[in-house]
Amino acid sequence: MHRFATIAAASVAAWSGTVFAQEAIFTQAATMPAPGAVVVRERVSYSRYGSDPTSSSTHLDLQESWTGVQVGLARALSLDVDASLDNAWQSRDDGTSNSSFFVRDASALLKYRFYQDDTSGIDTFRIVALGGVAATFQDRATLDPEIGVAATWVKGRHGFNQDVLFRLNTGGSESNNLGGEGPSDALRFDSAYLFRLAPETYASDTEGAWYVTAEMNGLYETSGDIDLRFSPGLLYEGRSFAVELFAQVPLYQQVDHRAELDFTVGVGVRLLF
Amino acid sequence: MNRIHSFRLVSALFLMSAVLGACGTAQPTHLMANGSQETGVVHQVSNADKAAVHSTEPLAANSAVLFVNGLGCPLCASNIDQQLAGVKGVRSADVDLSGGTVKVTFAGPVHPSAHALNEAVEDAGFTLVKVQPQ
Repeated sequence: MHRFATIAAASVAAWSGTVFAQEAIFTQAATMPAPGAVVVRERVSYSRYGSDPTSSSTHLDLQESWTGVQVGLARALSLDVDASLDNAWQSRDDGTSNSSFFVRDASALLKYRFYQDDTSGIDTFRIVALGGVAATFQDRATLDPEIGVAATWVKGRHGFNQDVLFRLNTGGSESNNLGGEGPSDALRFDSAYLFRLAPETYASDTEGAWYVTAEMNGLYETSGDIDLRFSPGLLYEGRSFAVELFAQVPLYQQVDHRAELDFTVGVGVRLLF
Repeated sequence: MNRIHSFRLVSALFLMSAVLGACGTAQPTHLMANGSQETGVVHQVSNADKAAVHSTEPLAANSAVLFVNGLGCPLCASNIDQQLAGVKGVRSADVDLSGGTVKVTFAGPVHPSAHALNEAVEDAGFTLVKVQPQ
């Protein structure tokens, strides 16, 4: 049971991202709430992983409830804290299976905006530096430093986010790793494109907007494992909330030390306080 | 797996990743029915307007229109609403995304200065380029 829990605990956190306006589902963005404002995100997803080369499992089903809180600390500084609650089912070669329910890993990430160029009423280009720690609760708890950079570019109906995030893993287990949480260091690189479907142009009484999102989420681990995923999504954004639907499928996986992802589907909500 | 090969492959994937995003933003700008480009309002701002944004004198008018850059989405509007509502002397703030403006009405004997409004807009993460008292 413990092994199963730790396997699941090493799942899709590397693909999680805190989101605010003009942010896609998984890719970090250079946006943040104002000082004193809080954005809460709740996301529920279902993922299926294939066989794990380090165990006898044939596949792993993972139901995850991910909660993220983003707090504006200062004019160009925010703190992102997130944690996951997981329910997982593991099936084995011999036909048996088991399930577990557990608190997954958590992370705290400071975001500092060091470049901002607002060129028109809508258009903007921003860059933030990211730094913090991720805690994993596998065989033993570890605190792993993370550092990175993210950029956001909005031009009319088009939005683009790009991030690069390096995680120095100080512990973890190769057999419990489902992406970026093993003993190997991990480099994440995500790109996201958002297109505002409606309204075509903002009106004075515009209260919300529909976006379609397309992301490419990459992960390289120093063990040699490489993972590239495509994540389409649909987003409705109001003035104080947003609702998102998303999926994730593998584009390219050369993974020798962990199970491969088959697919992820999910729904989420964002609330601004 | 060969490490060098892995590094090259990751580099290629990273470039693909960047190109995907670049392609997204490099799409031809959407043309509206009236022929104007839908890239957001570009505010006409003079040097005097830029200087006036930093004035610490209380505004005499009962309301003002703030010309703001970077208001890219509805959720942004709420962000700036909240910050302006916290400025002493501000009664309400109404965001117009189509014009990239915020109409602010004042209450009480002491009205805020353009500088105070600018601080709130910058706290919200946007750029105030002009204050037009009404």
